[in-house]
Amino acid sequence: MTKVSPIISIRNLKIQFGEEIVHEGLDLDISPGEIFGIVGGSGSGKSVLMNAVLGLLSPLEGTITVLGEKIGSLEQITKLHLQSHWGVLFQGGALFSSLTVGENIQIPLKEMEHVSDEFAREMAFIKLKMVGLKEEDFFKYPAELSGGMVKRAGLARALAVDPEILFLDEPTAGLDPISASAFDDLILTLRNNLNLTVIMVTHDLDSIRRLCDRIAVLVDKKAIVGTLEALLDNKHPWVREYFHGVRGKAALAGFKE
Amino acid sequence: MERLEVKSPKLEVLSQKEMVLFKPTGSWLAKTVREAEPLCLALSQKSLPKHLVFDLSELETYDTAGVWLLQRTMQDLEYKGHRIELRSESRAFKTLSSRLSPYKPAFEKIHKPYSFFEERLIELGIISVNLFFLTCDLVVFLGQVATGLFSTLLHPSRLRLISIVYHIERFGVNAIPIVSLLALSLGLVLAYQGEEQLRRFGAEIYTINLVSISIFREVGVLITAILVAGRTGSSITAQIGIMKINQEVDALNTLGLSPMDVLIIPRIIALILVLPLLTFVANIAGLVGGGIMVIFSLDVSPQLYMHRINEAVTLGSFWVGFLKAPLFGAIIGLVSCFEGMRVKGTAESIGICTTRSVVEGIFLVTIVDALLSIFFSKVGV
Repeated sequence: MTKVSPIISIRNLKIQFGEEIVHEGLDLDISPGEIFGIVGGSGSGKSVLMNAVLGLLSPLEGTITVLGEKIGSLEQITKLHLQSHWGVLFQGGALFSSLTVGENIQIPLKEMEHVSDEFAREMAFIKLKMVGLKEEDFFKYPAELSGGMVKRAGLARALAVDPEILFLDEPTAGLDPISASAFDDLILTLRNNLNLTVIMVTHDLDSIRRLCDRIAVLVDKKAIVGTLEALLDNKHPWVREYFHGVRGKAALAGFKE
Repeated sequence: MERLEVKSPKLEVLSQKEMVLFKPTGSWLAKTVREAEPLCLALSQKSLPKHLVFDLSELETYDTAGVWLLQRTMQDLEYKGHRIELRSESRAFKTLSSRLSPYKPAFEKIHKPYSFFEERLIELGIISVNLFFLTCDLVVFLGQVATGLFSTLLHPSRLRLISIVYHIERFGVNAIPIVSLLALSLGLVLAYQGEEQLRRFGAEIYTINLVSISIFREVGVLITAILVAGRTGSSITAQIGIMKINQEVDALNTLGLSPMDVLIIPRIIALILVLPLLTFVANIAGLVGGGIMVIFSLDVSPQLYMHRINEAVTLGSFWVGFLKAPLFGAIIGLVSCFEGMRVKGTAESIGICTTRSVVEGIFLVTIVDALLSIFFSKVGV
């Protein structure tokens, strides 16, 4: 990676819930244009880290800087301004259940950018097709969609305002291998076409291998960051177990040779 | 910091002899579409020559929204018979626009507006049909609950005692303060109004009869039922509804546990047991409320007050009120569980079903109470 100023940088982060310390002294830099994976065991605080970056929970110590603006010290206006620079796909899709898919996608356009109704609708159609949904899905309610379609609709909403940063929380979890691989393709094409920076929390070793430029492994309340090659040589027992366990071996077979 | 700077989009128009040259400059982004869209819309108002040129050389930044806006404008102009020429199109612009080009959304076929009158008529039809099916479903559900209750009678081991006791605490014990307060103030109000009217005949001592009989026969049980319908009915519906959305109800089914036994029967039994007890509390509190008023403003001693009540209220009056309570409890439990099981999919549906549960509960309780009042007065209790 060449030295460009990072799009997201985290310094000395500490997050604590009651007695339990989730992160302590965590540092992380994410460069523009990369696909950055975050992995870790259950309960290692992957989603907590993402929520902290998104400003959904405030850390005890440390600073998080996104696009040069400090999260947590944001004034209301700059926060709104920043929010139109990122899109988030939550684990369960988090579509608004009382709105149709089309209305869900239009919400960020209408509420944040105040574009005309007609343009919002056309953009929603475009994004809908971009993520591989059909035109008739526009009028469906989230309860009528399958798991994979919910993820795609959520992605379309996250992409609605053409964000620079895309957060994905377990995008391929719960998808069949064909849909998962199609989703990986989609993320790659979108990154290449739209100059996205993608931050994805995932357990899917296939996605990691295909997509991620760099990976952060959350262990011992800190992050071990590196490319897949570098992490394969890492000596930390949990990292070894993760990449060289039965599943890791199967998914990454032939990667180093 | 500079990354957040966005230049406002502009559309330069240069008229030459046979053609017009458009030069979009600045940032054409989703964030600036609000400013860019009027520029493009203004184009369609103007009268333009046949040959139009779009020069993209000074277009600085763009994303799908900006590209689509330009493309849409060009498509519109082409449709009107203009010839469009694109100049200095960058590669990135081309890849983006080629990804968008197959998207020509057609909206007309989907929107078919109805007139105001038609819409109301359709609404009326939907409401009537829904009401019919709602009644059918409720009757079916009543049958299911009845068979469920009957089979628990045959197999008492299937009765979930702990669950029933837990719900008795939540629905009954925890409701005592609010029920007493409400009944107390109603007793006060009744006594106050009654005394004012009866005083004109010099019969103010009969306030005691009025208060005690109306509380025992009607007010105590009715106010308890209405309060429980609002307080407990809504909570039952919301809880069962969320369990349905989370597929917890499905999980119960797959574990071989019937939701009827686990969720519905214990709640209904708890309500049937709790409502008479709460009614009794409400009756006592109502009498206390009436007593406060009577003792202080009519100068009646507490002993006399008790004595008059004893004379006025027959055992029949007491039972008329008291026996309605388990029936009302069953109605509330039935309606709230029924509405809970009807929740489907969305968060909105929980709100709708909870509202309906409370409204239907209170409605049915009041109707049944009116019918019973007529019945009892005809029978002469």
